[in-house]
Amino acid sequence: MALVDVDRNGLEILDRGDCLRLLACTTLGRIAVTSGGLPVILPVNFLLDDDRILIRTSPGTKLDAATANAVVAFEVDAMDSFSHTGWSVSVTGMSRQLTDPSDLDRVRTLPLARWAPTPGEHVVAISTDVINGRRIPEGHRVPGSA
Amino acid sequence: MTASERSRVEVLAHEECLRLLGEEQVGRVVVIAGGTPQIFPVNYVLDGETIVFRSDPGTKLDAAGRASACFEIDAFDRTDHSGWSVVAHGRLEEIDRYRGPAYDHVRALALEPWADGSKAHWLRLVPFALTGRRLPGVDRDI
Repeated sequence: MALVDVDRNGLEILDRGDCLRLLACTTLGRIAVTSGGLPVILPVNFLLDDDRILIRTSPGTKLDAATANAVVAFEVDAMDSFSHTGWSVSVTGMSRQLTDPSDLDRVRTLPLARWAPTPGEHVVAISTDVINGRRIPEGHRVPGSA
Repeated sequence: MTASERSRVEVLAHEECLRLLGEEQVGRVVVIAGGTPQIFPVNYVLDGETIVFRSDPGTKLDAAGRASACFEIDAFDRTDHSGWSVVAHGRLEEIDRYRGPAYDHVRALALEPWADGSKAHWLRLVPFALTGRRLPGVDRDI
């Protein structure tokens, strides 16, 4: 068995490459923003484009306002309630609306039809400057039989 | 979300939100720490209308006792994009031994952490708002 780093809770620490690979094969995540000083979270469809996370927002919404040049958190996970195994990846990064026309043109060609932004929608990019991943390995904890 | 998608979103009743919270085991807690939002996946139990989970002393989440927080659960089908989400907004409170009966009560809940670590602290989120949404899915041929 390959040596893996574990944290103080016995969870495997996923490196940046692992985290980006997991983000690349996931289409739904949760974005957390600060709105009116309070934390807000909501599920969003996303696409990993190189090392940035792209989501779409509708002008005038709270999410749209809260992702304009702000620090946000983003999370994806997969958990199995039966085996108590799973993984999660958390990102903290800067979010900003894409405005560069050539960047937007390229984004519209990305292979996710439903995701493709329609006119009037904003595309928001979240940097993956800080990225942390953990995996709960199999057999890590046997669920109680009671 | 486009306007046409938004129009198809079903708002879940309070009771339905509670039912879904009672069925799930893992959710995500969000607190503002160091001025930025932070997301922590936790396993939890619903106790009445409060969300109870455990934390390790010394963590950012643990330091957020009495802070405003929100909590989210969801389930989505990636093939037809149907799914639902429930979000609770509220305040975190730590239930420590000085809370007497409340401390005994939360310790008796069936709440075994999935991860190791002492997870010595019991926290609960007391929601002041509970909202849920359901997306019926999309016809992929459109």
